[in-house]
Amino acid sequence: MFINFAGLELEAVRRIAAAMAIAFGGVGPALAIGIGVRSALEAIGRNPEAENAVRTTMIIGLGLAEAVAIYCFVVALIIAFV
Amino acid sequence: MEVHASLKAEDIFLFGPVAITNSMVMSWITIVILAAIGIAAGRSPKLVPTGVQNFFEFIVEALMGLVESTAGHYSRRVFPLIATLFIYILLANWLALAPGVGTILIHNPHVESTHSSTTHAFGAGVAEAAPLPAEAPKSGAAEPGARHEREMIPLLRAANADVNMTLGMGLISFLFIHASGMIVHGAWGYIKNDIAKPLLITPIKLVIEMFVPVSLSMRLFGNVFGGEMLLTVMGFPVIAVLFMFAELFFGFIQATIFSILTLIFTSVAAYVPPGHGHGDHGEEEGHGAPAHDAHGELAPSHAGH
Repeated sequence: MFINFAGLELEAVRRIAAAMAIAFGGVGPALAIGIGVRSALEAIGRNPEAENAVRTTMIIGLGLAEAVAIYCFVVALIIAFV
Repeated sequence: MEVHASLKAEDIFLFGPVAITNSMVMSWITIVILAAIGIAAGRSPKLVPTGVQNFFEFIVEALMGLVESTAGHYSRRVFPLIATLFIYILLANWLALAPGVGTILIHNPHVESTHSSTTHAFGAGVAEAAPLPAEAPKSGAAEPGARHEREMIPLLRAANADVNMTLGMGLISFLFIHASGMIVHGAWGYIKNDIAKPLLITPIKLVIEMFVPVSLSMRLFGNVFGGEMLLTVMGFPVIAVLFMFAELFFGFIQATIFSILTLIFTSVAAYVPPGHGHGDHGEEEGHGAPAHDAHGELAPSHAGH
């Protein structure tokens, strides 16, 4: 944005790009995980008997949300190392 | 601090035309340990289990409860694959935290022939995006580090920190999902009713289905490889121990997610709507278990994926 990318070395651009990939890519999954855990806690609070079912489903959902961050991480690795 | 990081599993030695990588060695260690425990547990099974048999029965029963809550009446048919995936991935992830993995370095057997390593069958297949162009765009500054990296390679590397391993398991899941769908609905019926039902979005559905193994394998690979890198970077006393605990937890979570997602996709593919109970072909003992409750609430997760 405010950086003159044209004047930078390829290695520097690569590192900045990798850091930006994981930085921006981590925002969405962080929000998703927060919302997911909040909803699960509310559900357990309302219906404590369903704790096991809610927990299992929550962990699967968290894994799916976290996967987005992992994709960004893989992309950052590819940018950084390839 | 120079962090040793390579997206591709390094070759330890060549067995004929096949390159044996350090991840493969690690997966064999996992297999041997699992086989040894399995033989020890099942050698003389007792009605009242003790010791290893008791431990294994605990694991199997816990998994069986999980599978039955999702798959319903055909859970006994899908259970072997799901449980195998879970136990294997879990042990592989936890063995990756054992001392010596990634820290014992050996000399690279073919330092001078670095470019020939790209033509090996196992290395070139999946990880071709990673290692091949690595030499070309490297600027001059990074060259000494890269050469150093090639001389000393770790003897052991986490089995799931290799895309070949995880993509292999992802493809097994993919085949299993659609094979079970075809077994339940019949091959043509499955394609006609489940894949090509709203004809307009069939291409999108195909892309989604193709993305399932990629997503499964990349998730596992990214987690395990990222964990390895995290432990390497955070290699200070005390702090590393905390991350070790986190990695134990993540290894368990990833094993759960891989197997449970396979199970859910299988359930979705083999889903028979309540009204259309066409006597499920060959599915064992249709004892009228209302297995559809679980599907009803799990089906949307498939669409949202």
